[in-house]
Parts: sequence; C-alpha cells; structure tokens
Amino acid sequence: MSDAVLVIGGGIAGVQAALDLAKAGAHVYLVESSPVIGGKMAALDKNFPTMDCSICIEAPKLSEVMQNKNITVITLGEVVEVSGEAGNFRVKVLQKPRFVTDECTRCGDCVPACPIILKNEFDVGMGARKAIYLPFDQAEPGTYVVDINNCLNEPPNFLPCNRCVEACGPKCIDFNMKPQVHELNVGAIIVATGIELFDASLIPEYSYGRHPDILTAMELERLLQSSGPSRGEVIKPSDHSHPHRIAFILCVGSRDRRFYNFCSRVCCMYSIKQALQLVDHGIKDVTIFYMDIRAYGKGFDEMYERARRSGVRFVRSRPGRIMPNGSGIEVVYDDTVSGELRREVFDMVVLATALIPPEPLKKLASTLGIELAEDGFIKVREIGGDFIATTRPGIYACGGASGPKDIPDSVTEASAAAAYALTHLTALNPPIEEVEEKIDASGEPRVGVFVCHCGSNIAGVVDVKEVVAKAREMPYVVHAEDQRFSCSGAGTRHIEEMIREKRLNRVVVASCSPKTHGPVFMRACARAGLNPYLLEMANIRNLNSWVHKEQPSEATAKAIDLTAMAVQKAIRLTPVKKLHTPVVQRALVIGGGVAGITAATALARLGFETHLVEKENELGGMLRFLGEIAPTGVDAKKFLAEKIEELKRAGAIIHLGTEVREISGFVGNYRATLTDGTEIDVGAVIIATGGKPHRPEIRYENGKPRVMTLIEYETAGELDGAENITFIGCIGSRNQKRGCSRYCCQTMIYHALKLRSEGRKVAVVVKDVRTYSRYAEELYRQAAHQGVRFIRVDPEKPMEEQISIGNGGVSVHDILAGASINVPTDVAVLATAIDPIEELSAAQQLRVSKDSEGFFLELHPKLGPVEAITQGVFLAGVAQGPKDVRESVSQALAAAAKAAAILSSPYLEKEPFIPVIDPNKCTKCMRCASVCPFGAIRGELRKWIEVVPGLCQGCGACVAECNVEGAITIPGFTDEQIMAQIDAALAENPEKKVLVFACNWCSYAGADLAGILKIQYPPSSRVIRTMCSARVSQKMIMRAFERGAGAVLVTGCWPQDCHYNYANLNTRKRFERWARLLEAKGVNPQRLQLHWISAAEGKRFAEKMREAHELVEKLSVEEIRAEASKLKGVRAA
Amino acid sequence: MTGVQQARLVWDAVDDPAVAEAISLCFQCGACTASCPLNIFNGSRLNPRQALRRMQLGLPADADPYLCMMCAACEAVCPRGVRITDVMHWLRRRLYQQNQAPQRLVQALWSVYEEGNPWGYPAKDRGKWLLGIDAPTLRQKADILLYVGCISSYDVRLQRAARALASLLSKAGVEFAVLGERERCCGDAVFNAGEMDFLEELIQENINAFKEKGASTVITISPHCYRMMRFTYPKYGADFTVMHYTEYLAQLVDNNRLRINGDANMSITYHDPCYLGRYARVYEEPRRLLESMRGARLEEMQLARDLALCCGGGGGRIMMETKPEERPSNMRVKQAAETGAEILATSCPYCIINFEDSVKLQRMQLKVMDVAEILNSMAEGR
Repeated sequence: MSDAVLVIGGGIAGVQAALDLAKAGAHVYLVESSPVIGGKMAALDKNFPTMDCSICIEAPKLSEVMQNKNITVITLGEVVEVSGEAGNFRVKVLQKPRFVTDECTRCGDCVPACPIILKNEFDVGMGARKAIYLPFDQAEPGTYVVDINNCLNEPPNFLPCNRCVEACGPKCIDFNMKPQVHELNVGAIIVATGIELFDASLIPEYSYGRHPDILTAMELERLLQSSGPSRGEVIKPSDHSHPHRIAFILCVGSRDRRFYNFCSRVCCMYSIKQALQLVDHGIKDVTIFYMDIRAYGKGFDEMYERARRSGVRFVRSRPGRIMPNGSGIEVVYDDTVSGELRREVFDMVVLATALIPPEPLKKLASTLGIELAEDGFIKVREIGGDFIATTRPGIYACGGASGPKDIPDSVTEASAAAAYALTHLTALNPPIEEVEEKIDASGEPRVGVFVCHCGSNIAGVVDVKEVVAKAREMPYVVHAEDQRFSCSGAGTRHIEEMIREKRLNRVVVASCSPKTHGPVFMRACARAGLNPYLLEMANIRNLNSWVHKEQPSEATAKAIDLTAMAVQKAIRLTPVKKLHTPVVQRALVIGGGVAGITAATALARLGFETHLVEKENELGGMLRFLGEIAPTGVDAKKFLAEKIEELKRAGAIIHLGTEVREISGFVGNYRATLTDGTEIDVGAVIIATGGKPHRPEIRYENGKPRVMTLIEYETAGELDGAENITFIGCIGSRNQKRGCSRYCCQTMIYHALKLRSEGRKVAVVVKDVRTYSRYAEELYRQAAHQGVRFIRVDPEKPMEEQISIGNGGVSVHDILAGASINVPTDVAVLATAIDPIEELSAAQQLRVSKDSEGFFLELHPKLGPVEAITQGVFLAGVAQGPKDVRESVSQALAAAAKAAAILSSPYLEKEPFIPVIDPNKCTKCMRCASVCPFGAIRGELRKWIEVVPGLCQGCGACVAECNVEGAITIPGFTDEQIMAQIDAALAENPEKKVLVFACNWCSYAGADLAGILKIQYPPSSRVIRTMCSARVSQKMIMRAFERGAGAVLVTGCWPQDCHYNYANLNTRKRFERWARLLEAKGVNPQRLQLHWISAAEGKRFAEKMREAHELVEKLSVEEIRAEASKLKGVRAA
Repeated sequence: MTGVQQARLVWDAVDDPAVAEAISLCFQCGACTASCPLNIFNGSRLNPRQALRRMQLGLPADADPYLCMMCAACEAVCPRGVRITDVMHWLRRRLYQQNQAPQRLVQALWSVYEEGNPWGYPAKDRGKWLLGIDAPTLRQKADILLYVGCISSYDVRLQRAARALASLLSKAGVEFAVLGERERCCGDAVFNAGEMDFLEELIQENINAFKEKGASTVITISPHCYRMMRFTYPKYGADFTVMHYTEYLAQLVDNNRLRINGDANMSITYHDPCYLGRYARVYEEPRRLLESMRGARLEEMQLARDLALCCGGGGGRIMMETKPEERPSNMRVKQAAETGAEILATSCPYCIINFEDSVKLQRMQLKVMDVAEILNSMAEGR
C-alpha cells in the first residue's frame, strides 16, 4: 500500500500532474530522462493564441515542483522494472550520475574552463554548449550537469582534464558519482513522456539539411526566442542577413501515409503564431502552405483571422518540391484554389514537422506492460477509462504520450490523470509547513548583512570588502560580512549560526535574485527560528556585477546602494505568517451532463462529499441524444449508462430537477442554496453546465431534401431508405461571432463513413476538414477511401451563405474544382454549432466571467484551462467552450483534480501579502474595491468595508489607489518600506540615477535574464521590486522626482501576461495621469516612462536601461533640480 | 448559385472500382501537380490534382492523359498513396475506346500487331543483335531466358548494350536462352495506348513462348518490359520469376560468380529509371554493381531515387514527338553533369536514347552508358 505516485516525464504534462498530486497530498516521484524538467514547452518562445512567453509561464511551475516537499525529482532517470499491481507497484528507477552536486550555485565558472564545444540540443543544435552545462538559463534543477559521453575525463575521450573541477569555487563537481538505483513503492503510475519531432530530412523533396535556410519550426522558435542562439533576431542561418520572404509548410511528416497518418494537432496554430511574430519583426512577406487550417480551439479562428488581416498569405497547397537554387529556395506548388501552378523563391522555408511517438516509448511500454496503439502512442481505454487509463490498471497516460496535443489539452489530461491516480492511494498528506519562531522581532532592529562573492561572479567586478565596510555603517546593522557562496550548504548554515549568535532579527543577503534564491535564505532564517519574511535580498549579481563588467567602481557603488535599499526595507519589515483559511471538504458540481457526472464521480471516489445539481429530471445532458461517439464509435448509450452507474457507486449526492439559487463565499468556503431550499457548504465548485445546440437560421423549401441537424439525425437514427445523404458543416460556427465547434467534422465523417459502408452515396460539405483528434484523421482517410465525397467551400464566408438546399439537392460552389455543383440529396444533415447557455445566476454570483462568445472564461488558456478566475471555481466541458466527449471528460477529471487539491487540505495556505485596512483612517470611499481585479474588497460606500483574504491575490493595486495616508497597507510592500527604498536609492547623485519599478513576475525576471545573458548596460539604474506594477502609486513617483531622480521607469508584464487578471491596466491608466500631472508642472515628460518587459525580454530590459541612461546623461543636474523644486506641494495621491 | 453553370454530381462516372477508389482517396493537396516533371521543368502542362477533383465530382477530367510519362513522380510524394498512374491509364483506356488515342500510339499498336514491335521494324530482323555476340553459354533452351525487348533488338546503339549483357552472363557461366526472331513486344506499347484486348492476347502468346523455352526466370533489359511482366503478367496467369538484369547481375556478383576486376578509375553518376525505381523500388542493385568496380567513384545527383527526374520516355512518350527544348532529359543530363561525373550510367534503353540525344543537342561532354556496358569492360571471363 502506498501514498506515492510515479510520474514518468518532466514536461509540462508531467509537471502539472505532479503538482496536482502533491497538492492533493500524494507523494510524487517525477522521473525525467534528461537532466532538467520542462520538456518541449521550455524551448518554445511564445504560445498560441495568447502570445504568452512560454518559459515565463512555465518557469514558476518548474520552481514550484522543485520546492514542493511532496515531490521528489529524479532527473537522468529511467524506469527499468515494474512489478506488482495497482495500489502497490514496485518500481526500479536507474538514475545516471550528474557529476555535479546540489551544492552547485549556478555561477557558471566551470563553463569557460571546459574545452569541449558541442551542439546545444535545447537550441536544436543551433547554439553551442560545453560538456559541462545547463541546457537553458531558467533550467530546473539548476545544478549543472556533465555530459559524460563527451567529457575528456571519461572513455572514449579519456584524457584527464579536470579543468572544471579546478574552476569550481564551491567544489561541487564530483567525477566519482555512480549510477543509482531507486526502488520505489507507488500506488499508481502516470506516463507523460510527451512527443518527439519528426526528422524532416526523411522527406527528400523538401531538401531539409541541404540548405541552412530550410528550417524546422522548432529551429525558428529558437531563433525567435530572445535568449536563443540569435538573441531573438530572425536571421538566415546561411549568411546572418534578415529574410524578407518566408514560407511555412504544414503537415511535414504527418497526414502522410509514407510516415505518419495522424494529424499533429498543433502545427497549424503554431505556424500561424510564428507567422504573426515574423510580421511583428517587420517581415511582410509571409506565406503559409496548408491543406486544412485546424484552428479548432478557443480563440484559434480569431487568431487565424488576425493573421490574414496582418497580411499573412494562406495558400491551400502541399508543395511538391522545395529546392535550393542560387538565389534562394524555390518552392513549387499547385495553388489548389486558383488551380495555378507556381514556383516562387523564398529566403527561408520553415517546415512544421510532425509530433511523433518518441523512440524509447516502445521500450517503456513493454517495461510497464501497457499496449501501444497503431499510431505508436499509448493506447487508452474509452469505456471505464475515460481516455486516460492505459490497458494496465493503475497506469495512466496524459499529454503527448497518448497522441499529439497542445499545451492546454496536455495539462488538462495531466490533471485528469492525477484525479485517477489519487484513487489508488491509501493515505494523503497535504503539505503543511510548521516552523517554530523563537526570535522576537518586535524590538529594535538588529540587521545582519551577508555579501556574497558568488566565486568571481560578484567579487570579480564588485569590491565586496568595500560593500561590507559600508554596510557596517548603515543604520541598525550589527553584523556584516562577506561569504564565498552564501547559498551553499555551508553558507546558509553560517547565516543560521550568525542569526543565533548575533541575535539578528533582520537579515539582508546581498547576492543574487530573490526570485531564484529567496526561498533558500528564507528557509535558513526559519531554521534559525526567525520569521522568514524578515529577510530582504539585494540583487548585486544579476542586476549588477553581471551587467556592468567593465565598470567595477560604478558597480561597487551600485552594490552599496542596493544593499542600503535592502537594509532600509529590512528594518521596516514586520513578521508575517502565511495565511491559513479553513476548507469545507465538500464539493458542488453544477450540471449533470457527461462533464458534471465525470467530475462528481472523481471527487466522490476520492472520498469527498459531492453534490451534483442538475436542472433536468434526468442525468446525461447532450450525451443522451447521441448514438455513437466519434471518431472511434463508442456506444454512447452504454457509455452514459456506465458513467451514471459509476457516479452512483462512487456515492455522489444527486439533486435532480434542481438549480443553484444563491451562492456566495470564497475558496474553501462557499455556501450554496438550491431551488429546493437545501443549503450546502462546499469548498470548491465545478461549473459543468454545458451548452445548447444552435438553431440553424437557414432557408430551404420543405419537401426534398429532408433537412435535419446532426443531433436530430442521431436521435432519429433512421433515414427511411434515403439513398443520397449530404452533411453540411459549420452551421452557426466559424462566422463573425463564433469559432470552431470542434466536434462536428469528426462526427459528420464518422456517420458519413457508416452510411457509405451501407452503400449509400454520401457527401460532406466543409470549409476545412478539422479531424485533429486522435484517430480522426485516420477516419477521414478511410471515409475518403470508401468513397465519401468532400466538397470544399470558401472558408471566409459563413456556410449558410454558400449553400442552397432544395429541388432534390444541395447546391454549392466547390473551390477546388472551381465549379458549382448540385449534390443530389435526399437528406441534408446540418452539423450545427454548440451555443453557450443564456445565463447562469450561480456563475454571476461567483463572478465567473464569460468570453467573447459567451462561454465561461478560464483563468489562463494555456496553463489554467479548467480554473475559473475566481479561486475555488472550476470549469468542465462545454460550459468553457465547445468540446467533444473525450475533451469534456478529460476536462472534468482535471477540474476534479484541481478541486481535490483544495479539498484535501484542512486549510489553505497563502502568501501573507494581504492588505490591511485601518478602520480609523479609512473613509470607505470604495476606490480600492473598484480596482481590485478579484473582487476581494467588499463593502458599501461610507458604511462598511472589508478585505476577503480568500479572494485576495496580493497585487497591491488597492493600496496604490488609496489617497488616504495609512488607510490601507500591504505587508511586505508597505508605502513606508518602498519610500525608504526610494530615499536610499537616491541618497547620492540622484540626478544621475534611473529609478526602476519592476514587477515580480515579468520585468524583474527580465532584468534577471539580462544578467544571466550578460547583456551589458550602464550602471545608473536602481530597481525596486513590487509584486505587480499596479502597486506603484503617485506618491512614489512624486517622491522620486522630488528627490531629484534623473528618470523613473515603471515596468510590468505585457497586459495580456499580467499575473493578476489585468491589474496592470491600472498601471497604464495611472501612468497617463502622472504623465499629465508632471507635464503640467513643467517636468520633462521623457523623464517618466512606462515599459512592458516580459520575463524573456532581458535584451529589452537592457535596452530600456541604456536609453534611460542616455536621457539622464543629456539632462543637466541644474535642470533636474529646478524641475524637482516645481513639484513641492504636489499632492501625494 | 444562380447564373453559374451548375453540374450535377455524378457518382458512378468511373467504371473500374479500383480506379474509383484511387480517385476518391485524394484529398487535393496538389503535391502531385507540383512534382510532375512536365510542370516543374516545362511550365504548367498537366494537373493531375485538378483532374482527380473533377473526376471526384463526376465531371470530365479535362486533362490529356497521353501527356503523362507514367513516371510516378507524383505517386512518390502523394501523402494519401493515390495510384495516379492507374487513373491516367484509365483515362487513356476511355479515350482509346472513343477513338481519341494519339495517332502515333495507334500506329505503334498496329506495328506490334504486324511486326511484333511498335517501331515497325521487320519481325524477321529481330535476332540481328546476336550477330557477332560473344556468349558461349547461349543455349536453345534454358532455365534462364534473356528477354531483350524491342528497342534493344533493333537499335544499333542499344544492341551493343544487349550484347554486353549477354557476354556478362556468359562470363558468369550462366546458361541462358533468347527468343530471337520469335520475341515479340512485351505489351507495354499496347498498354500505353489504352488497348486491353489485344494486350491480353499478346501476353498469353509471350507466356507460352517463355514456357516453350523452358524458362522459369525471365531477365529483362528494359525496365518497361520488367514492369509489364512483373505487375501485369501475373494477372494473366504468368508464374515465372521476372528480374531486371541489374538485380540478376547483383546476385551473381554477390555470389562471386561474376568477378569485376578491371580498374575503372572513373566517376559515374547513376540515373534511376522510373519504371525500375519508383515502380519496383530497385535502387540499390545498380549502385552496388557500379561500386563493385575498383576505382569507380559514384556521385549522386540531388534528385535521385524516389525523386529521380524522368527522361521523358515513359508512358509511350518515347514514340511521340516532344519538342527538343521541352525534353526533361535536357534537364536531367545537366543535373548529371553538375555532379562532375564523366559518365552518366543508367539501366534503361529509353533513358539512354533520350540522354544521348540531349547530350548531343546541348553539345555536352557527358558519356551515357548502360550499366551492363560499363561492367562488361571490367568483368573477368571464365
């Protein structure tokens, strides 16, 4: 019996499964074959359709994995043996040695010492690495690794070298490390091994490998990535010049019987995304060669439309030859719409290579004793397995392991697999951290300052001794010293000792980034008995020594300033505790369709009291009307009966003919009142209210042909001997208002094939054939093979305008034949859209927003597809957007896993950055409430006000909005603390300094990245970190200018990347006000700037610092002082 | 939908179920049209994709199937595996029935009927290639039958290659028979016209002739005969083994029966004949033979194997007039010269004719040779 789960594969699916499991209290062994976790997602530049920076949104999850006590990460690991059974597997994992210990400080000094230069696999061979390396900058675990097969210290190259060992300061390179065998006992296994990319050189007619400017999409992705081999410049590998004409070729290796028959699902969208990025890079001439544009997801069709509007040319054609010639790369193609044969020369050609099963999957499957399907991916069970269970009980598959998938579908399935895995565990231990605080911090501050050399990373540039000497003179500093590696085991132990010995009650570590190393020093404080929130860091490496290498004296001065700022903040820190809110361990599921049933079953199975509310008198939703489920033809009746049986067996409480009348509360504590008067307290809510079939607005004469919708056809099941049947897609979908309805193509084709097999004459009218689901492309092929005719219409016009039904046929213009065709038809079957339901008062009360199409809006389209923006509320199935049964089921399971993570813990823990209102000062003007992006401040004008900690996320937008001094404060980022940092930063030569406010998630991370990439910029900047740019208030801006700052920069996430639900739109609004105010006062408007800088834009951060520096250099000290004096008496808020 | 001429979708316009299936399978990507040598090197001439689309809807194909060289370059890249050459042949069959086959092919058909070869050479001269042959193992009857084929029997240039092959067989000690004057066209010329009844008659006759010679294995010189015998004859009851001579010689070399000893010291590029390569996937054997020669350096053209460019002679095009400037062979010999090779080797008589013409036309230095010719000069006698 076990409380543990083995997750194989450390890509985004494995990471998500691990996090969900760990949060629900399981112990997780995450086994990854490469040296780092993160998978393919880490190598991507941006994600579609949101254009999020990929690593920026993935990295927080990676560090969460590393820090979670319930997760053991085994990198360089391979599962070699599995025995036992569900609930009690015994697993052997072989771990190859890394040759670098966990003491590694990521200083990187070993790298220049290594004489071996190799291709970096992470950059798909376009960049270089050494034999000792870290695959990418934000890699987790961040310990370096020795590629022993290419190292000189080992056969076959044996030539004792040891240069890295000598270069390593903390002596953490150990060539005596041996392979290790881990014997694990786990209750369940999740396979999340992902996909591999097709080798394009296998298609000789596309000439990949014969010309450097014929790239794979992944290679272009690395070129686009600002930390990639070309630093984000799109250049031709052949001569490093900028390309002007670029062609994208889709389906390279997929949808091709010579290689892989399946559709890779993601290529259409990532190619459109890349095309848009190229347009942004100023490349005007971009062409996408496609066969069908499979823009099936939420917002995908919109993005396709945007690309078309931006001038991206879409050509429906699969080129026959791609041939390098003297002047470029010639593409020969037949434009299938115009019927013209063309040959065009491009500067660069990008091949969208198929997502294929990784070679080692075969071996792993045999080790695990599970079956693979014909397509080479893991076979999953449909009935009784919800498309997640493999052929062996207790083993589940998610993400690319069971077929190509995009990121949201992968993380959804990962959570779904977690929900299943949890059912095999005997005990759950939600992670609870208890620290005993022995040190009373209430007295006079006693600050200890620790300045790190980081080998030569800091000390090679900054005069560390000088910083220590100056620190000793700072207020309340009772101890200051320098350390070689503060973060090493020895370093942190020493800090602990000093806290005890010198009775320190505040700690300042001047070293690297609080984002990467904050937790390390917080734990050291906690171990010494000091409240961990009394730590402050000065980032004198990433923001200083790494980026000002040529100016050691300025860098030293800056280090002193940064340390002084940290000390000033530290003495104003107060001990705070993570918040604990109790959780009601019950769940409410609204909607009894397949999604609701699945979610409720999963939660009830995990032992949570689960209430399922369905407004109809019967369960099943839309599934009741289906006969078979495409593409594999699962018997829908049997499937539903089985699902209802499982629900009942699991013991969920079912409320039929009932709706939720009222609901209020916050995560962990909701109270719902049902229409029958029942009151239920629950900790989490799942909305699974489905959609409704679209009512076609289409004119046709009665009589021949008979017209019915696809659902009517499924219900009728009988066609009265009709000979000619015509299916018509996209009725009510893919128009101005609505995107793709996802289910229709495969469903039409499923039925078309069936009717065709009976000998009838079947035609299908489509815009594109979107058979993206697993086995669906194969179904399409089979249908064509059997003689189903596919008629293709203009994708840009609504289907309703392109067909006319009557006189015994369907008339339509086929764009491929360029001819109008009358298809003899006895029965016309319309594949109608799924429309959103009208209103759901429960959703309104829970503040769950809707998207532009009227479906419920998810937290994040990529990484939070099942979470609503309101914490503790989850979305499942069609309620969030059109889906087929498989997708609804996996989303429901994922929602259940997320809910379980909340419910399994007796209380919720959260960062203590929750605003506190001083009732004596507050005027209850409600301005703060109006800017809160989470509705976490409640009250009535002039009457009462309160913060709901359960809803608050800690951005601080409210505090910045308040204009009553001291009425609202936020611990950790108080006005007093930030003002003290401003004063310290500007204590000397303020006119020559650039004060920078940076948000924790994007811009500060971007600044860190500039350091990692060693992008040099002038040392005039002083950065103050806040959680969100919305925390920056007018008071701070005015104070900075009054103190004579040369320039002030406010930086934050790009609006769509904001981590606080668009809180930074407040920043933009306020910035405009400040700018007007300053201008009115006669301050040079250039001196205040707002910049969006993402976590990947280290280069942009450095550029902005350089520009601001140049501006400050141009201004005279007198000018600045004169302008500062004009600001006297300006209201602070 | 008004004002536009509207056709009614016709379901059963194609009478051959296998062909109907091939048509239906197409998903209209256009890779075929964009890989057809007629289009790549001569501007737009033939659009198989469009023809397939029109046939899917039961409309007239609007394509001249007799332009097609049956080289199957389209099939090599087709992601759906559509048998496009079968569709082209079906169209030819139909046009033939409607008396719309090109005059030259009809004439060839009559020549086969009357003289046993499409060129109209006298049947009685068919054995003349044997004059001056050095093949001591040639027998009246034998297990192995060397089927020479029409053009190699009559064309003075190609007779040399045929004699070289016969000599190689003897050097390896292989006892073999030939049909001599009794040899008749394999049927390729008849098939290309789209005539099927006479084809059957001819094939039956040939099968009987092979039997009378006691042959269990037939070796062909031309890949065109090879394809006919390997893929079409079995439908008419043939049960003998067919091998292309390169396959057979490769076996002999592998078994050490044929010893290649001379010093070649030359650079060669090998052209894959369509009917041998794409149809039968014989890619390795000819290369292995050439590489077995000491000192031979094999240079590959960029378009090789599946991508090899047709010489222009397939599908009966060898009989028909193609303007000198539009011959794909012009391009192919240039590609061969680009490799820097002195010799363009191939293993198909049609390719040799076309390449030699193009070399002359373009005043090039390249030497065009049959694999058997090259080998024979290096092979050791017994």
